Amino acid sequence: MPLGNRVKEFRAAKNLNQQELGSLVGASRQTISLIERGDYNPSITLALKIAGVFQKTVEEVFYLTEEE
Amino acid sequence: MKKKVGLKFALSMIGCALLGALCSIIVNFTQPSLTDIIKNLSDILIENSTILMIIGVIPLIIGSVLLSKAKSTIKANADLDEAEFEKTHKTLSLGLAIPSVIMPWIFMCFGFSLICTIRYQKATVFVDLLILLLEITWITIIQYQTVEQTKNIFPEKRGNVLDSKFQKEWYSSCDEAEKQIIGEACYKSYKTMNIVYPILYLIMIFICNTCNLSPFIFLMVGVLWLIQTLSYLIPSYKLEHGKKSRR
Repeated sequence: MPLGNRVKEFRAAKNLNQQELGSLVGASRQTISLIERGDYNPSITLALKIAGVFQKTVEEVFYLTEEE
Repeated sequence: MKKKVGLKFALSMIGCALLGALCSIIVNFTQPSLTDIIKNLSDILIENSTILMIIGVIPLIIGSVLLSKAKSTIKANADLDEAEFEKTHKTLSLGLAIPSVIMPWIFMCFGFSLICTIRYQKATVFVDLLILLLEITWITIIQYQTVEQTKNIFPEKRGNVLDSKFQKEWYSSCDEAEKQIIGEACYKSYKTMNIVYPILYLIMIFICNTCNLSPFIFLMVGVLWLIQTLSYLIPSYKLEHGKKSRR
């Protein structure tokens, strides 16, 4: 079951670019781009850090989708 | 399900055995012509080593063009937007990959040149040595420049290509996604080589037998196969069960 996310949406709401979000969570711009495109599932640590930046719970940012 | 997999395995084994037997029959009946083909091919490669080395310049030109393209994009836009960033990153990755492929090629061609010099008493090896040094320098410049440009779009990246600890430093500056990509690419390489080595081993046995060469050649392939297997198994065992276990 693939992982969906709302990282791009929350990032835009916080007025952050990929580089800035990456710096805040200790990841590269490329990794943020991969997560937003759904090409990479982050570790629990990174998911918690991302959710922390947006002041949301992990479940609000990441969710399971039915699509294959 | 288990029975089906077992049957598939047994059938593939029988298929491989039949293919091996067929190859042996073909080789047995066509041995003189096959020996001629191998000899002619070797002669062509040996006699044209300089041309083959010069061909290696083409990927280097492509790499340089890609690098300068990425360089000018980065210089023109200090803050790349998402689309430009993706495009530039792709260009830089290609710009680094294409010249890297040429390294084994030029060393192979230089090997042909050495044989040519020894066999025909020609002085081509000096010209080829010059081309080899030129191409290695060119590759190093491309790699250095590409890494520096990559650092511009990934400020967290560390390492200097000219430093012996470059790979270690670069890897440690990669985050979890990048490390996973490296891991998956390495595993694919391991799987590919596990198919390539047995095939190469059989070809080498055949060539050694038909051309009456030293068994040392296929022994070398066997040693490389062993090194690759051990260099995968030992670290993976240590990571799973050793002191540096990930658990």
